[in-house]
Amino acid sequence: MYPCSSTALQRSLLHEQLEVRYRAMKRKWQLFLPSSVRMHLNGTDAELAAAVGYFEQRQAQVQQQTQHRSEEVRDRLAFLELQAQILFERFTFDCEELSEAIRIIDKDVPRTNRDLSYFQEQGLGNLLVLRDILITYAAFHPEVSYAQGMNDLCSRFLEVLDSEVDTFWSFSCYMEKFSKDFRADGLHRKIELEAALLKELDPQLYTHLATDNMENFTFCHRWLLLGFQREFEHSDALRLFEILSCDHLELISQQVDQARYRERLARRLSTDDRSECELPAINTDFTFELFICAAILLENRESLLRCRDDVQLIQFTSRLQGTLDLNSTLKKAELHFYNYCKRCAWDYGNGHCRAQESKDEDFLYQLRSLFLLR
Amino acid sequence: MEAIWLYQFRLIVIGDSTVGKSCLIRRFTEGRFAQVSDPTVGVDFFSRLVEIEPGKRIKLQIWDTAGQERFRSITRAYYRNSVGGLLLFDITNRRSFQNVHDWLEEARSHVQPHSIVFLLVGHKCDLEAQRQVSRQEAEKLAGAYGMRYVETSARDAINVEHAFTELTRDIFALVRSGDITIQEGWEGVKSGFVPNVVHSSEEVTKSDRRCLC
Repeated sequence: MYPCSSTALQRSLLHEQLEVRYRAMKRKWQLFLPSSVRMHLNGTDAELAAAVGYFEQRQAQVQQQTQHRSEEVRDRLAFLELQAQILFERFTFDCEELSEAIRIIDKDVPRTNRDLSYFQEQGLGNLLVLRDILITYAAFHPEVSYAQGMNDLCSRFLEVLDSEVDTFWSFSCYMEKFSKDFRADGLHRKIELEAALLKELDPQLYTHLATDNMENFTFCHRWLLLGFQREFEHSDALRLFEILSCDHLELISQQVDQARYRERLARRLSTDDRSECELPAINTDFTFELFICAAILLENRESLLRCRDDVQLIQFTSRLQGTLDLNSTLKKAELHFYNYCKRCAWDYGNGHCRAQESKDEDFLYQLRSLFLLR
Repeated sequence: MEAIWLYQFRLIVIGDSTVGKSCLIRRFTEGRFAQVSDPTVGVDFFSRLVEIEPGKRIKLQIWDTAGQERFRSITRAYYRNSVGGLLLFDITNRRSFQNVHDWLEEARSHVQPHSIVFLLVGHKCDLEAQRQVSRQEAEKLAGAYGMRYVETSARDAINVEHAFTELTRDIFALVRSGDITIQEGWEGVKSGFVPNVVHSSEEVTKSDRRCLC
């Protein structure tokens, strides 16, 4: 939520700004839909009524604390407040869309990870915090709004950070990268990508699973969308989520650039090919969670090959829930990942040599490699 | 041992999100009501045997789908191989009733060249005080589309068995009359083991074993 280059001093100020901004955003939709400020309860869930109680108590406490601020702090906050108001002044909401999102959020929030201690007893109030975060996000991102499953993702940030403001901004940053997966076209695209990756890694298994609509890959859709939350034990799932959200092993990350660079270097030394500078044809859409998914599929390849229809597939994969070991899966996924990078570098190298032979006279080609050499 | 069944029908359960699709299926297949259940993301699968006449059992494969509109790119692949469907709306949520027409359109455009026998289900009928859709209105709509209408409650176990059995009976009648036929490469209806066929298939396995010895 902070820029990488920011200093500790800047961050405390930035945090103040983000906090004020978030409060301004929240207030804006609350003024727009006053009837939705409080959660809609249907009266059958006594715990939830208690949750509302805890939540309101906590809000009253926060209110009290704000009264003890020094004048200097108050002035600064007033300025930030004004800034935030101007920033969001022109933002308008679509009443019907937002009400529908809130309706679904109100149904989903009470069924979010209620078995975790973070959401029990006094912690029940955290469900209401989650609700406010999700609504604020939906209100200010109408192109994504709210999709079922986001409650799961967002609750993980909240559990770890235990702060409404930090969770909102971290979740927003995370969604910058993943929100397209939650949109109608993105959901299917994710499955197609997984299928494409599997085709690279194991053509036989791919042929076995592939159909026109890729419906045989539907089973891994939930794994991908929710970051395997329901497949691993909770603490492992959290760890995996952290790994996935930190961009460590992505095809756009530094590690990969280094690995590809080393590969190219080795290649260059062995063939004495000096015109090496273009990036290999690598599909950067293959994000790391696709490799995790592929590692799980390949690990169970024999069983999957024995499945004769989609029913057997979905039954097999639901039996996997809770049986997977994170460390070994990660190791395998990492291996597949590096192998894919290496192969791309090799393929590129080979293609490049051939191109060199056949297109020696090609003026455009020469021009291009000259240009790239700079 | 696999239970004996005459036919296997594949059903799909659709309707707006939070109308209670998963809860209805859970009540039917597991016999319990889950106060808290995860929202369905994508599709889920359940199965159960139903006895429609003494000694005549049908195996139901039930596909549960995510109701939110954006998940349709995933769920629409499942219409084609379904012979029957439960189309749910929530009687306390008018919008879910208004969307019934859209759901039928969505199904119709993706089921070609087959068709689906639908049952319209008004769910959550235990919440009578919050009702926003009258029974007459729903019956009228169902009639206009040639569907039956049933009101159910997963919480109070009202009509849950009835809804699934009625739909199964209707499909069974269509299969018997030849209006629906078993087709290669279509999963909607499959024939299973009839008791006397089971006899002979048992003999076949026995003789197989003898050969192996």
